[in-house]
Amino acid sequence: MPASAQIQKKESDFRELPVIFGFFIWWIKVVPSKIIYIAKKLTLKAFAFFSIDLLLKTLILPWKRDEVDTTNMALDDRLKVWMMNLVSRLVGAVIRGAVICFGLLTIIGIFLGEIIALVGFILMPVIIIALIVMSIAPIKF
Amino acid sequence: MANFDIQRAKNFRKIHAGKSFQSGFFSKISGLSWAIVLISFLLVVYLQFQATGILANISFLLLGASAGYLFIFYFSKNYYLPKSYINSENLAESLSPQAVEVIDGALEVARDNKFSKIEPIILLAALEKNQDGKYILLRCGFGLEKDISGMISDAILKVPRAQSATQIEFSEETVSIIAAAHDNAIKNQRSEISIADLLLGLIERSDVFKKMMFEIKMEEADLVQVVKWHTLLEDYSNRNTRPFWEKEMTGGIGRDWSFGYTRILNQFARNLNQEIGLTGEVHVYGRAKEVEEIERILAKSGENNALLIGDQGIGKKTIVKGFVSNIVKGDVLPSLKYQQVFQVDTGAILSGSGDDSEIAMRVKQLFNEAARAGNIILFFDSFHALVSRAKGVGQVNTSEIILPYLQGGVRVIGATSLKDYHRDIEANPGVDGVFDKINIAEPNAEETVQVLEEMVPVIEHRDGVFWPYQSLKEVVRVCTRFIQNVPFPKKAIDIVDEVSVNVAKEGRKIILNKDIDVLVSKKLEVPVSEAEGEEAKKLMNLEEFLHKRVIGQDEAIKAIASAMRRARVGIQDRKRPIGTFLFLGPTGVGKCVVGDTLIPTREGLIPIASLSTQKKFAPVATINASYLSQISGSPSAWFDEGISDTVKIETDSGFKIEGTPEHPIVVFRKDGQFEFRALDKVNKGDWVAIKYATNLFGKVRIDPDISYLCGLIVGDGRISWNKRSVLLTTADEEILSEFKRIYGKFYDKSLGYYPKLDKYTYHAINTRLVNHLFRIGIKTVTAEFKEIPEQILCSNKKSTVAFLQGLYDTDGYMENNGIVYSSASEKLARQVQSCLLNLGIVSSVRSGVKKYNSKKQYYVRIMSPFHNIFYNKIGFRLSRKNNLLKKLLKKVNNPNKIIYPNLKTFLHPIFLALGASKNKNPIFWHKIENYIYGMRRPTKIMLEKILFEAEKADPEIILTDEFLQLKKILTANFYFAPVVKISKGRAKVYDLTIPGHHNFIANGFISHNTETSKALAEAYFGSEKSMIRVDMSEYQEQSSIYRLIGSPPSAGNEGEKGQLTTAVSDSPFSLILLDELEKANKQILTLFLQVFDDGRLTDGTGRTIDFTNTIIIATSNAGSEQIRENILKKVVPETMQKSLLNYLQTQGIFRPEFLNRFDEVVAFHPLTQNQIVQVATLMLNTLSKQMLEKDITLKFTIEAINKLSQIGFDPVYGARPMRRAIQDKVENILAKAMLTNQIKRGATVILDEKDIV
Repeated sequence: MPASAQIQKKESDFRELPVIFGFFIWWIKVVPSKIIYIAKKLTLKAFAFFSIDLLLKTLILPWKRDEVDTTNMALDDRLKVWMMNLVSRLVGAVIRGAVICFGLLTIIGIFLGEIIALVGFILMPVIIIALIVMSIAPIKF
Repeated sequence: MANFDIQRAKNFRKIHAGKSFQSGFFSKISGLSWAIVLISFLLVVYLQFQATGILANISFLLLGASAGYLFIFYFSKNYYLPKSYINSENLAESLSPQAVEVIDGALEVARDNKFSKIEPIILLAALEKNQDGKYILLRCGFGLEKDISGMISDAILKVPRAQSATQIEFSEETVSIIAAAHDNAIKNQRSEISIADLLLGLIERSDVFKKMMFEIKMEEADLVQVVKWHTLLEDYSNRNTRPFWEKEMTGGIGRDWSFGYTRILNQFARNLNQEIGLTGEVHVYGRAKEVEEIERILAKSGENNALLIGDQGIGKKTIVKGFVSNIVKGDVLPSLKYQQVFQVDTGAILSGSGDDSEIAMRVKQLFNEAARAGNIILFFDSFHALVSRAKGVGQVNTSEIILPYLQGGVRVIGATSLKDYHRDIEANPGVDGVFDKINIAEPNAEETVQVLEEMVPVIEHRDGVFWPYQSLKEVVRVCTRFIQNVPFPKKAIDIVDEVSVNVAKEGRKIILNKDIDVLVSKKLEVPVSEAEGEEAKKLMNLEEFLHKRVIGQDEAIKAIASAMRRARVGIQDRKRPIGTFLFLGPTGVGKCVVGDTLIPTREGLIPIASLSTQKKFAPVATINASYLSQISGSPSAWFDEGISDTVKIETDSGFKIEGTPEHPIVVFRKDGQFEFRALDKVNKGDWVAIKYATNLFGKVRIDPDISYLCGLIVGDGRISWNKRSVLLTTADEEILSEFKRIYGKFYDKSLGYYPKLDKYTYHAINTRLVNHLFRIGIKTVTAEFKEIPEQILCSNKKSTVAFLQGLYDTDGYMENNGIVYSSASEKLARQVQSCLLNLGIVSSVRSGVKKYNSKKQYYVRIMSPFHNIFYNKIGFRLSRKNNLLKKLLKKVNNPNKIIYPNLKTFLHPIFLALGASKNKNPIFWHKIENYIYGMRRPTKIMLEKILFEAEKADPEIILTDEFLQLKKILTANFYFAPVVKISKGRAKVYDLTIPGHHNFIANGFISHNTETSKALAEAYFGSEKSMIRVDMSEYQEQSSIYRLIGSPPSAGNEGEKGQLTTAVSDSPFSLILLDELEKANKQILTLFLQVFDDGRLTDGTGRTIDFTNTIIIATSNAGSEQIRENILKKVVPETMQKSLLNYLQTQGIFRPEFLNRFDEVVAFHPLTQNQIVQVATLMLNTLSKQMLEKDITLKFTIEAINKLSQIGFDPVYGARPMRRAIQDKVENILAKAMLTNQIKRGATVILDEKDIV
């Protein structure tokens, strides 16, 4: 059997089981795996979108690599240029740092969303029953 | 037998259940449920999760119920999803959902039609109803010309039906098809049997389907390709519909911040990453290796530049775009991950002001910016332009500037052609060394089809057309066969583009093979599609068609016709020309005229026999065939062809030309077209064109008075060499006084002459005078042999005119309202006629007998419309005669002598245009009507008036072909005269070659070359224009090879274009006629060895010219004496052929290896008696057609034909005397009978043997 068919077979295993068993496998294993997979993909996408690795590598490089060459300059001019370059680096570092932070926050958000989705899905039957019960016999919080 | 049990297949059970979850009722409810969930959730939030109150209760209930529904729905949807997997135990479980639907469909068809078994055709019917199946079948070409459903229905009718209701089974054949589909799925690593696999199984195992595919010219391999194509398009579609977390990231926001500015790059270059990010991935077929190579080169450290070398149109840019696609996907090595590829506009960066330093600065800034940015790869499409050493606008050598960057700092991808690489880059070792070269080969046909498959959906969407697979194959086939000078895939892409637009314009949707064939045929002017219908019939009867123009020579015609047939159906050797033939024949096949024929040249009127005495040939008068205007052409060669049979024709105005029977002259046909016709094919009554006003005079300066004196002496004088005296006989005091004046002025101031030897004869004894006249060319001959002196013929206009004045003053006179010059010498009379013609004066020459001495006299009578021109240009010096001329001019000026025959066709549209003005000028309009109906012929003045009025009536008529042709004829200075006399002779003949024009004026007649090969050009290529004629006598020197194949470019020069190679390159489907092959230099002949062997020739610039679509015919006069001798010895044709070949080789005329390369070497041997009968029949049929025009039916008995054949046959010259025999024995008799009313209109004449006397 080809590899792709083996994978296909594995995925479709729960469909071959009787309904009840199939339901439990789907509920506990298949969908949560999918949620984790999507979360992983989103995390990678966010990482790539915010170019976190590249920004970390180039954190303190001058902004847009815009650096003035000080060859054959007088000392005071060199000092001025050095200050300007430093400012350029600081600007770069600040902006990059902000983007890195924002990216990390997004990734944390994805992670939290993943947790919520996972827990929520697993508890979904309980939530549904609770909602129905609450509609009949209200519970005070 | 494989197990196929749908009852036990789980996916079959689930299919029906799953249908409603996929797209049925439950699916629709789920949408509603989501809405309820959202609303109720918001309500719950609003109510702060307090489950009190009715609203809260309802919210909670709805929320819970909807969420529950959705939870169960999504589980059911996934659980009942009929996903299959490959299972060899039960094939039914391996079927994909669509395949299951097809099987269901087949079952339904079987049930409806009461079939007991599901045969393959029923499976095909079900496949046809499936969307994917129908799409693949359409791509294969089903349903384009015949309705596919109809085809399937017809086949289904043959399936046996069940007598009673039984359980439907799958036939063995159908199960084996599904098994084959299963194996195919495994082979292609698919997880289930798809629609495509079923179709592949069908073609593998079903005879019915195989037959259907055969009918639409599709094979199994083609279906496999179509399936792959379909899969590919599906993949693209699926990729576009992926969820966003599956899609590739096209760089991040940090990329631009981490690398430098690209201001200059943005100005002069395009960011390919951005473009591909927007347009989508670029797929590059068959180039994965090249893309990987680029990646490897750019990823290494140090000098990491790649140079792609390949011809224009081969796909270099596409390969680079494929590499960029990989960068965009992130599918590259880490060091290339954030790189951006900029395609630099080399033209923009190198253009601008003429200052090179500005351009150099710009280039430096560009590279500097790329280096600073840190993540730039520069791509130059024409990299050689940056390092070219050629001088010119936009040519700047920046190699010194860019070399440091190339050595480290900037990654560069360059693209160039092989020729440019060798010329510009290889010559620069520094630049060459920093690049890793990647040779890009032209994709083959299969790869090209794949490229087209990729691009066709875009074109289909743009133009709203549909491309079946065979049409793509046809594009590739036609491009491979007929378009040699452009590589794949460019030529195929261009054709696809153009055909799509054309078909869309016509409002059609489906591209058929014939659309492609029609387009390519039109572009290349050659038949492309398979020969069928009329063309196939013509090809089968090609010998007959050719024989209409070429009499006899069955062997040669058969050889050529066979080669044409082989080529047309595509079974000839593709690496050689279509056919190569060498025809050997006796002399006389070129343009040959007798020696005293006068040729107007820039050195004067020169007899053709004397042309060879010139150190360098002076330009002769020729005609531009397109514009009918006179131009000059310099002869390149002159030949004495020896003594030959000749044909002499004479017009009613006494214009004569004598030449070999094959010598063609211009004839003005009945349909108004000009045609070159051999002298022996010219008939009495044919109108020939005489060119006047050539106005070509020599450079010899003779004082006009001396020329006049020469005229007097030629007219009425003679020279006595012994006595060193010149005698002049005249009764005219004015002539005498003029003679004295001139003599006294130049020769003897003391006027030493002795008057009056007799009453009217004066003589001057002066050695200087005699010597001078002798040097001018006056000969001591009797009156019958007088001629214009050679130097006078070569003198300038003034001298020529003065000489003519002298002649006219002596022997010219006014008679019957005409200007006449009389002479006892026919040659002198004709020379005077030629001189007058050169000056623009048309005259007629008649002979008569002098009453007082019964001697023959020749009278040159100037036609009345030219009297004024004579008066203005020549006139008389004698006042007496001049006064008479003036009186004549006042009295007579009949312009009606210049008439134009055969203009009906051209006058017709003009006649229609003038129809509106009929009532305004009915007389004029009726005159035109007479011209249209052939009752009259328009004169020059009338024709001018017609054109003038036509332009007034309809200004747009000046753009019509007919008007333009009439205008050309009117302004061409042609005089048309009918042929009245044709006779035979035998004389020494001469040949002349004028390269580029191949025609010249001889005695006023326009002469040209043979037309034999034109028949072949017309037969195969559809037009005589497809014939390339190369006169090999122009290539007698080895150095002339460059004129044939072109010369290589040298410093500052592009090199000369070759006559042959340029012509074949421009028109690869042609007939090449190599005339007079034996006259070419032997080294030049060796060039043709590779042409005959490989069908290719490399020209002077290094280009390979393809000859595989040409027919090459070489003619040669070599061995003609051998042929004659063999004929006289009555040698059989086969032996004659062998001895002839032997002769050619032993005499060193042609080398054996050269002769061996011809497909056929055919000696033009004489006709047999049977063939003579055929020739006679052909000629008599032509005569019958002519008689039919006069409403007389002419028939011949077989005995009459046989007798004529005997009379017209000569063992040496074959059928040449036949024309004379028919003329003498038939035409003359008919002419007399018609004149005496023995034969009237509507009569039927049957000529029997006894009538041929």
